Amino acid sequence: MSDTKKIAVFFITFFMFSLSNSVWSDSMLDEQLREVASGGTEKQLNQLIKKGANVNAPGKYGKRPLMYAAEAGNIDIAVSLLSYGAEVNARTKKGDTALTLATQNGHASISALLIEFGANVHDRTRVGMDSLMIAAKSGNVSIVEQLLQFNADVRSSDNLGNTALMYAIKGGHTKVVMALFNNSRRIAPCIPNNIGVTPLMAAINEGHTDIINIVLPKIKHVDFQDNFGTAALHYAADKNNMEVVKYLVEHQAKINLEDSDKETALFYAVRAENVDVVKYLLGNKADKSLKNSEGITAYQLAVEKKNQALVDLLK
Amino acid sequence: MQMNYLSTHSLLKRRAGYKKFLTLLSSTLSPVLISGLLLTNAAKAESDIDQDNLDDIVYQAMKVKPNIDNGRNLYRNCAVCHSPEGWGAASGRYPQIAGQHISVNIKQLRDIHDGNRDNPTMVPFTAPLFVQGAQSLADVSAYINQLPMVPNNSVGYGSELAEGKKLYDENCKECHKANGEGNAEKFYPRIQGQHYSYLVRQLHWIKNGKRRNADKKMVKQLQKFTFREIDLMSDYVSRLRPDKSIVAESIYWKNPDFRAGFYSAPRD
Repeated sequence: MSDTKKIAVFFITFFMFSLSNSVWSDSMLDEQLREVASGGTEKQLNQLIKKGANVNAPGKYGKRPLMYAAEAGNIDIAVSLLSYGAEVNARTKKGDTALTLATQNGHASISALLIEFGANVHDRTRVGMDSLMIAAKSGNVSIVEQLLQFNADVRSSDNLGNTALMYAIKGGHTKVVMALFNNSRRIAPCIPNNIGVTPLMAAINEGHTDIINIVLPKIKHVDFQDNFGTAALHYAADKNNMEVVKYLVEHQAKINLEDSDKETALFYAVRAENVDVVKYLLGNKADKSLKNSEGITAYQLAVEKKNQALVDLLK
Repeated sequence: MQMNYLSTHSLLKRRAGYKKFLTLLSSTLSPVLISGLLLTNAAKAESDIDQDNLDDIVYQAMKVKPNIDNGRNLYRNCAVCHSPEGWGAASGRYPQIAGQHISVNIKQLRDIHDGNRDNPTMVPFTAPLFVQGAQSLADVSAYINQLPMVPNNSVGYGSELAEGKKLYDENCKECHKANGEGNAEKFYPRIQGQHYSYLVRQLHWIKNGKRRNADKKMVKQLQKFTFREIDLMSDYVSRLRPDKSIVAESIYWKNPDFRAGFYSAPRD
């Protein structure tokens, strides 16, 4: 190797070494800052920042100190980081933000702080869930109210088509459902998810009476069918919810509406052996002669079930 | 207009005594007579609606000796929105709280905590104060009280100030005093030097019932007001100058309890 080459290699090696050393020391400080953000004290944080740690330095998968504080619920650290100008709307590679992380972990004071600092309430994770859906799913009323106050979209839905209302219903969070209706005029109680299930159907399916009582009077299209042709009456008949069956029939629901298997609400009631519902449906002109796609009548189904009370009713 | 956010402490005591008197009477007089007396009492107390809902903690907090050092530490979380100086935002997004009466601060914290005011982002910050007790409430309220007020709060357009003054004198002066200094003893807030947009928003919220900690009488009086009248009145109030002793020397004054470059929430 010539002398010139040797000198060049020496300088390049020296330059690389000095660079890597400074980067390494900085990354150590940043790493410490992220650890402190997660479980340290404000004093430790201030010391690290004075030494030159970067308040916005992303760690693995793009997670930043503010996100660690939001996840851990460390309000003092979050206040400090924000007062040093930490970026509020940064995202991880998974699409999480400090706000979604605070919401997921139920830290209402941190979510409030982030919202006031301009966190985007519409940001979604990779599965399409925004903070409102996350808060509704976990039943956190105070965060739901904060988000609605700052114009979170109650009609937005995730990749499965579920809205915040749907998540609140599935979780049985009555207070969240009430908060959604009280704080937003844009809420749409009839919007179905990707498989056509409406909030009412979900509420009937989950058997949450309080929620049914809130949602039911707001329904306009009582015969709406999901992707399998099942309407709210089918759900109510299946779940033996006599109150809802009566309400729907009284509000002109089609009693002989068939699903994709040509089964009416009567079939559902027979299959679930809900004698009272069968009796009520028959009393309101349910057609017992109809056959499903397998050519079976409700009577034959009752015989299969060996339920004498149903057999007697359907004879 | 009687802007009774609350009635006085003495009034409360008087009412408590009156209730005791009624209890005594109930053992001797007929129920019909008692119900008549109660109805009269209810009619008289229409403007004193909030007093029965007041917790002892508010009065406890007013009795204790505030610790400003502890108040300074507690105020740190407030400063991220209300700014280290407590001057709020000219846009009206955050009110100026500097210089506000201690009793009013305590009472407003209580109302926000109880959900009498729609402020979901502040609720989580009031909760720890109530867990810590009356002393903490007093400390943070006293710290806010001793902060000097902003010399250049935002004001309205300045047109028809004479009409704004007339409206103020006829409706608000009785409780909030001629110069808007309020009354600490009676929980009437200092409204002089408050940001114009904030005043407009709060008056509308009281009018339409969104801010529920104003008394019924004030709500009823405000319901007669048009948008224009609320605007004129707010404009006049925002121009009422606080005493120089409680105003910062300069608009560049910075709270020395906070480090330079302390970021707070966006002002607009």
